[in-house]
Amino acid sequence: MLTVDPRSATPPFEQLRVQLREQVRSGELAAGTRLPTVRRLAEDLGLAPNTVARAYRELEADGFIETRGRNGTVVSAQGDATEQQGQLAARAYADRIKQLGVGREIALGWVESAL
Amino acid sequence: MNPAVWFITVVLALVIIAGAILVLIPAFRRFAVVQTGNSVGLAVPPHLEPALRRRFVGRLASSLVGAALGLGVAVVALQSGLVPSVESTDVAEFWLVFGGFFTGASVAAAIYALAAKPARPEGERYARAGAVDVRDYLAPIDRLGARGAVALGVVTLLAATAVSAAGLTSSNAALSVGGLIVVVGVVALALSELASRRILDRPQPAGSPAELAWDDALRAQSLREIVTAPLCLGSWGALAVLFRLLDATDSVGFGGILTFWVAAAGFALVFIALLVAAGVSIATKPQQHYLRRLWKDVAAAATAQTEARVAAQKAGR
Repeated sequence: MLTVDPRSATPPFEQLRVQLREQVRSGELAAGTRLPTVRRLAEDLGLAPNTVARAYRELEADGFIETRGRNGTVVSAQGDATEQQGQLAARAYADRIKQLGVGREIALGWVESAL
Repeated sequence: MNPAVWFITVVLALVIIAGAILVLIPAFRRFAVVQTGNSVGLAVPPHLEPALRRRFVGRLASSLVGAALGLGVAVVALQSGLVPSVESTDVAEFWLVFGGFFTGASVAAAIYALAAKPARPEGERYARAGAVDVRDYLAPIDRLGARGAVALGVVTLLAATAVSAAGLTSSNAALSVGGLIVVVGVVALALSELASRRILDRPQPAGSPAELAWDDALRAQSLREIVTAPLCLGSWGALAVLFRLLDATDSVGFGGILTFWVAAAGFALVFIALLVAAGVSIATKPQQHYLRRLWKDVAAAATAQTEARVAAQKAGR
């Protein structure tokens, strides 16, 4: 969840940037997660598109997110090369599980058994 | 139109009138919002109740107007002879009347969802950090069910035409009210896919997580209403074409007998599949699919509450 307080002394783009950065760092936003489009997030939060675009640009420059053309903006894998590969594999597994409509507990159980 | 079809038409018209009267009663509006909350798995926060009531009234009123218009179009089409009905006792006329009712309601639900202006909250604003798509709002049984039903209708239509071309039937079952229902189903599916995407593209300004969750719930409800039209039209059209095929099959010769039994088996299979799908739909609560996808914590809390209540009831026995 993202929150923007227009009455805060912190500029809206900074509020957005910090929240997204923390959510990527904590793993709340997993690697490969697609972010809303700039226009959509700006409309939802009542901000100018440039404000959201600036937050996205800075996050991209810091390596937290990446733009993949028509696929939109996605969360980048964090950490060293091994950790990044693991996160991307987890994302691919989660996407497939969602496609299949398998429950969370069952899917986690399969991972436990496989490990 | 025969008296039985007129009877169904009058019953559906009475349903619309009853809905229009109920929506004017404030107590019913409050009751309906609470009932909707129970159905979608969300509590109704007091500060959101007036806004939810307004949205509920708007949705219901537009659906009722749409259902009335759809019903009217179906009746006019049948009365004016625009519909290729061969016999006045054709059961497909029932389905056309029902189809007009549900399609009108679906179209109106789509128009309302696309036209309603979201309120701009004051102060803090909330938004979801991840992107969403139609799979987050529609359970597979609704999303794929609509496509499957329309595909089934088209396959039935093609099969009826092929059988007719082979000279195994006295008339082409595809050129009937059932065939028209399938064609309208194809159009309804295309429009529903387009409308669903448009609805999800609309902004969701929210002043609290509860407001966002409710907007998700109402979006999911609108999308489900929209896919109802192709779902019903595809499956009813298939049944109507198969029914007509049974009627038109010349039960002479190997080909004729085989066609008759294949059509009979197809009719029974489609009917059973619809019953099974309805059972699965009731059991899996597709109206709470969005909750499981987008609000896992809320869904988990609701499940825990239900389990605790059931446990308490068992302990009290």
